Amino acid sequence: MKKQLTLLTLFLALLFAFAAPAPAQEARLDQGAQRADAFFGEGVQLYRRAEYGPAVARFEAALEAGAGELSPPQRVRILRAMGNSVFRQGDALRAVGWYSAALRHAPRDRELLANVDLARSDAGMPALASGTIAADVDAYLHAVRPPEARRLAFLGGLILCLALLVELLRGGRAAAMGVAFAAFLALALALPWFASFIPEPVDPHLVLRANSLAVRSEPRAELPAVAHLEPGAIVTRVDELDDWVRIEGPGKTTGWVPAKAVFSLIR
Amino acid sequence: MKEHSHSPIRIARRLLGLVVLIFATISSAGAAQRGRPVVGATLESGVIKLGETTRVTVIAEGTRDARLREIPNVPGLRFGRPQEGFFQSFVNGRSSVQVRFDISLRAEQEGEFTIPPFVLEVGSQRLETRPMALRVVRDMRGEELGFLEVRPTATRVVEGQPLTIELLLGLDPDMNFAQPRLPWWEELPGTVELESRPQAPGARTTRLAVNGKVDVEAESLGLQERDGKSFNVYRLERRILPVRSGLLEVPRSHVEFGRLGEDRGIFSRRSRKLDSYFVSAPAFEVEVVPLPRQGQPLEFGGAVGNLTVRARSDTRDVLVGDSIKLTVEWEGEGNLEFFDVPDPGRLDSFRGFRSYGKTEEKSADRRRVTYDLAPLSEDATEIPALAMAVFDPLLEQYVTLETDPIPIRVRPLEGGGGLLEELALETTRDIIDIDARPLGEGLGRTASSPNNALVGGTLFGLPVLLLGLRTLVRRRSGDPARPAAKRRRRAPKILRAALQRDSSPAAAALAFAEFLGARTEESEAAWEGRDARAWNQALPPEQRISTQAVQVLDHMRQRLEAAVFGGDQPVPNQELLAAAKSVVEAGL
Repeated sequence: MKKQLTLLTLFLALLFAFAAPAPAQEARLDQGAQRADAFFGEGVQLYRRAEYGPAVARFEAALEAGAGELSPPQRVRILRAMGNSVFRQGDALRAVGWYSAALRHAPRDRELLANVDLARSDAGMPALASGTIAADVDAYLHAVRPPEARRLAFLGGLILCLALLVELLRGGRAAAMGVAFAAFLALALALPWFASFIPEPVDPHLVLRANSLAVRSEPRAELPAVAHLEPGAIVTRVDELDDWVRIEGPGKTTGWVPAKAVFSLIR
Repeated sequence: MKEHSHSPIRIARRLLGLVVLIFATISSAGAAQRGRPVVGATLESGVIKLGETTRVTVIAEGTRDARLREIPNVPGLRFGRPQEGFFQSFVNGRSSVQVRFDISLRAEQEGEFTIPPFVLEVGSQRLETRPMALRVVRDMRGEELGFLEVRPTATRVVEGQPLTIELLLGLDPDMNFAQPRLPWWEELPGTVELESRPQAPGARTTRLAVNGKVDVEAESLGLQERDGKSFNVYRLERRILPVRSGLLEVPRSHVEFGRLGEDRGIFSRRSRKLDSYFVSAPAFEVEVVPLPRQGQPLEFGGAVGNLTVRARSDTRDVLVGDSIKLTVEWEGEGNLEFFDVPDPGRLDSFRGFRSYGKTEEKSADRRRVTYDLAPLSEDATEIPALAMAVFDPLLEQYVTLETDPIPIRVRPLEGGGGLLEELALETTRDIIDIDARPLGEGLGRTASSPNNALVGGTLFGLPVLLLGLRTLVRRRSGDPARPAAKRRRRAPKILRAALQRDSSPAAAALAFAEFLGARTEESEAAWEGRDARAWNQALPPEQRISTQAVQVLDHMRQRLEAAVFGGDQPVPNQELLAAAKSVVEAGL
């Protein structure tokens, strides 16, 4: 018994050593990120002068310059500025698109959530679903990014192991209930991690319309609709042609929609 | 050694069951609160002849789950077996359900009967209908001395359209009493009672006791000729509002009438019937159709009828922000008490006005609403028309009823500011500003995260390992929660506490024996006079302690015995505790 416990203690010590966070990484900007920072700064100046059109161009240049080098928080900053700029230009719909793209990197950012809520309201889109159990569960599953989900799941696992260890050594009803509770907690904490294994759309696009969007079998406006997409639905871009985009939507809906009615969320 | 039966899986199952039970309770409570069923009962006829059969209809509305629990027992009346039926209709997207029980009733004795309430079980509730009155007579003469006509103002109405049932009663001039027996008067399923219209000024009226209890004012139309005979004619009216589509069944009506005489005693006077006659009017049906959905305006507030509207304001010359009382009156034949009136605060046409609420007066023939408005600027030159959608049953279509605009003059406030300036102090939502800091600033430290393999190992691998270890431990050492195992673990602490309480040689010896007994899960008596070496040899090899530990054990016991029985120096507590620790570490 003693040997087993000793081995276990060693194992746990190794585990903790592995799991310990790496030394802090200072936010140094690489070359691409530096150029992005410069564009971003210019965009901010223009934004402050209410020159929103040029500001949008600068922010777009910042995203392009920093492609692959920007961290999620940096990306969020630029995308939010884009959203604000197009909102000030009066295009609430496209503002929803930019804010939604930013939310993919920071799903719990309260200021972003407030802005997207207002933009959706101004654009006549329905509010982000809430109030139902399904909507709340979905919001919880997507409220953490993959690294955070792994940390949460890891924490849940540790709690469960600790409870099992106590039950192993001490036994009894209280320890058994502790294990049950810890198992439940571990499952709840691990849910976002499990959800991260569900394949996400490769090239997700957001339906940017106040009313439902007609999907046609070919890229021609005179054809009848074969399906309709709800405002705010997420679809996958499959192909594109001139002013049209071929999408695959919920329920395996496929077809063509006008390119300006959808907004790419990969930014 | 028995394994303990507290399995985490079993406990988790119990917890899950408790959670499911809580959810089920909450949802069933919600379901119960969503709609309250209504029960009612009607007689096909309030007066029948001896030996005749009539019908009682008991209805439970708004539920599918209703059972007739009790049929009252009334001597002199025989009830038949209930025939159950279920009805469902869909009106304007709402489902209306009804369970109906038809029970035949045969009059076997003459007299006045009160049928007690019918008891129904609706879901888990117990509901009762109202009691009903029934008169059973030997003979119903009366056609030559009176007449009764009961007719509706329409035989086909829409849901929400008021309906008047008019009753004309004619009596021979010699008759001095009349008692209508109208089973539908107090309760008619599927309808709501409306306020009666007041009698015209100057109309002559008399009071009648409907069903023997409800005092009703009837208009006296005076003497009229019919078929060459003269009758005193009376008129009664009942206004109802059908709230459910389908066939509205109005049962047969009777009026008992005749002459009353008076018995005078010394101290009292009593009326008695000298003769009694009956007239009846047949049952009839009114078709209630649902409101058409086609053409129904979005803003339709439920107004049905043939209505007119007019508006007036209490003033036409105001300052900006001053109150204007706009009074709008709807009149005519319609559901005046029930529709939703328009709200100027929600209308685009009233953009230039602030609405501060309204007061309402409702009556049978009028709906008066007074809106409190204030013009926001001097640009307002009139109070706009207030429109309302109404379904006109005569035209069978939706029409818009509009008031006339009312010209007004709005003067600016002194100082030039208007209510609009006041509105400038109001707040509104706006987007939150950008984060304008440079991209390299304020990002904080980024922590690494474990990879998927590590997470999976911690979530699944390690718990499986621990469970396996647990199984081994249980098999080998039994359940650590057993009382003996707990005693074993606490033995060193108990020894320390006992020695602190009493370190006399006898107490120390006893405490040590108890310690040994707890560690080996035996009683302390088992260690009395025990040869530690022999004991150790007798153990399975994997449970034996080291020879050195046995020597320490033996030596300590000898010293304790010498101190107790031989008068030797007592063993110091520290040494005793050290010896206990060493044997525990050796695996005792």
